[in-house]
Formats: sequence, structure tokens, C-alpha cells
Amino acid sequence: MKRFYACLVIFAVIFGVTVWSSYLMHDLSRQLNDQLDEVTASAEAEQWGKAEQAATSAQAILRDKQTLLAYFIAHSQLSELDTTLSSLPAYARDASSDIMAETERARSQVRALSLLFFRTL
Amino acid sequence: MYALLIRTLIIYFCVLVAMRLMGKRQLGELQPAELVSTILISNLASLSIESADMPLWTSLVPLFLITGIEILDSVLVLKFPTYARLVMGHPKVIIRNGVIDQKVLSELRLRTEDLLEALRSEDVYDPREVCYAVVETNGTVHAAKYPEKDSVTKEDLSLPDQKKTPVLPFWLDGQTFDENLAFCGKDNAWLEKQIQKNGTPKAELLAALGDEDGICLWIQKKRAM
Repeated sequence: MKRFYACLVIFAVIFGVTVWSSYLMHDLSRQLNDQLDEVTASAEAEQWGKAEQAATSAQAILRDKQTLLAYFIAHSQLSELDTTLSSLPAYARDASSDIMAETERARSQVRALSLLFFRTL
Repeated sequence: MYALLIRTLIIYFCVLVAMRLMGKRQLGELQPAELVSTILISNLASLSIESADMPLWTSLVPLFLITGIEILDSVLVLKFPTYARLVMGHPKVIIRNGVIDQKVLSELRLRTEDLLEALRSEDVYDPREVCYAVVETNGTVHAAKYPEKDSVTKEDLSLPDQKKTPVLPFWLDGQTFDENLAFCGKDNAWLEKQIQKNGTPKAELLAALGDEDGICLWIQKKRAM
């Protein structure tokens, strides 16, 4: 019977970790999408300074949680998103129209990460 | 490289804990569900060691989930016989009164050669000697010979029972086996007294084996040459 209780503890821990990681990813993807929407809107309005600021904060949001996320997500997927987000401020500084394509790429990478947790935004 | 070492160590100990939790059944002959979990666990463990890119959790979560399911499965098997039959199947009688049931043989996809091999491991060389043989759910064959073909026992020869308990280890490598002592009606204090009586210091004692009559074998450690 001791094993049965051990199994219940295992299930509880796994369930806890799953819910927590799912919440973490949900929260992160919501924050990132908000910033990416801001980048797109500012770029469309040709407010490049605002777009750069939003891109930089998107990058900061990811970096803030990257260590934690690395426990659940393949490192290559995280670094892909990090690379895409890192390039955004430079596109905004150069007032490049490529920023729209790069933002869309970042958005799809965030969506791919969310799908790992059975969440879509 | 350090990461790889640490990952391997973590995975090794986690698999060890998982197998320990699943119990001794997992180490012997496996039931279908146990075989599935063992295969999956070994794959998950190697996955995380091989690919440094994969987070440890992606191996550990399914590993412990499978362990949990396996334990739950064993509890359900104990509590619900119908579930047990569904998951594990049931033993099939393959020989009755010395005659091989060929229908069961083909149902189990067993060759006659496989059956004879399994019977030989039961010390049966002629199927006609077998009164009743079953293929267990884990695939092993157990056979009961006709009484007249079976080995002679002390009871058959009406010989007096000389020993009630087998010879068991009471002391091995500095470790006392309390359960064995209790089984033979002895205790730790008795063992200490016996060791003192023997005169060999504990540090030089490798093993002490005995039965209900007392210690029958002392093994001393050999000094390194």
C-alpha cells in the first residue's frame, strides 16, 4: 500500500508541474503576443521608436523566463525564438519593413511553443 | 560535458528509484504491462542522456508517470480480477493427461519445439509424464507430473524430517539479518553471544550461516596477500 501512496504523490507532483508549466507558458505567450502586436501596430504607424521599445521588452520578457522554460522546452526551440526577438529592435532602428515578416515569424514560434502545452492563443 | 555527467547521474538514480518503486516483479519475468513500461522507461532514459538539447523534465515526467501508472495498474490488478484478466490474460492449460492441446498451442503461437524446451527446463523429457501443464500469463510453462512419474520425496519414503528450517545467513559482511534470526527463533543478543563464543573478531568475520539448531558455518575473511 506504501507504493500506492507513492504513486499518488507522483501523480500529484506531475499534475502540479504540468499545470504550473502550462500556466507559465500561457502567461509568457500572452505577454509576448501583446508586445509583438505593439511592434506591428507601431511599425504600421511608422512609430519606429515605439516599435523598438516594444521589441526590446519582448526580448527582455523571454530572457527573464528563459532559464525556467529551459526545464520544459527543447533548448533549440527557445534559442530560435530568442534569436528572432533579438533581431527585432535592429529592424525597428533601421525602420525596415522586414520587421513585419520577422514579427510574424516570432509570433508563429511563440504559437509553436504554446502548442507544446496544448494551449493556443 | 559536466552537464552530460550530471544528466546521466540524475537519470540513473531516477530510473533506479522508478524500478525500486515498481517492485521486485519488474526484475523477474515480466507481465505484458510491465514489459511495456520497462521498454518505455529505458527509451526515455536514453533519450535524455543522448540529446543534451532536451530538457531533463521531458524525460523525468513521462518516466515517473509510467511508474505511477504501473503501480496503479498493479493495485487495480489486485483489487479487480476482471481487470486483471483483461490486462494480463489468464493461464492456459497446454497439456492434459499427457496429451498436448494443439489448439491452445496454435492459439499461443508456440512451436512444439518451444513447448518441449520449456518442459525440459521443468525436468520433463516426455510429455506423456505430464498430468497437467499450463502456460502462465508471463509465458513460463509449469508442469505437474503424474504422481507415479514424479520425484520421490522424504514423505513418500517415510523418512524422519531432520531439519525444519533451511540454512540461512545470520551475518554477512558486517550486516545482521534480523528476519532470518527471527525465522529460526533466535535474536541479535544470541548472535552476539555466538560470535563472542566463536572468538573471531567481527571485523574478520565474513559470514555466519545457521538454522534453528544454531550456527553451522563460520566464514572468516581472507587476508589480502
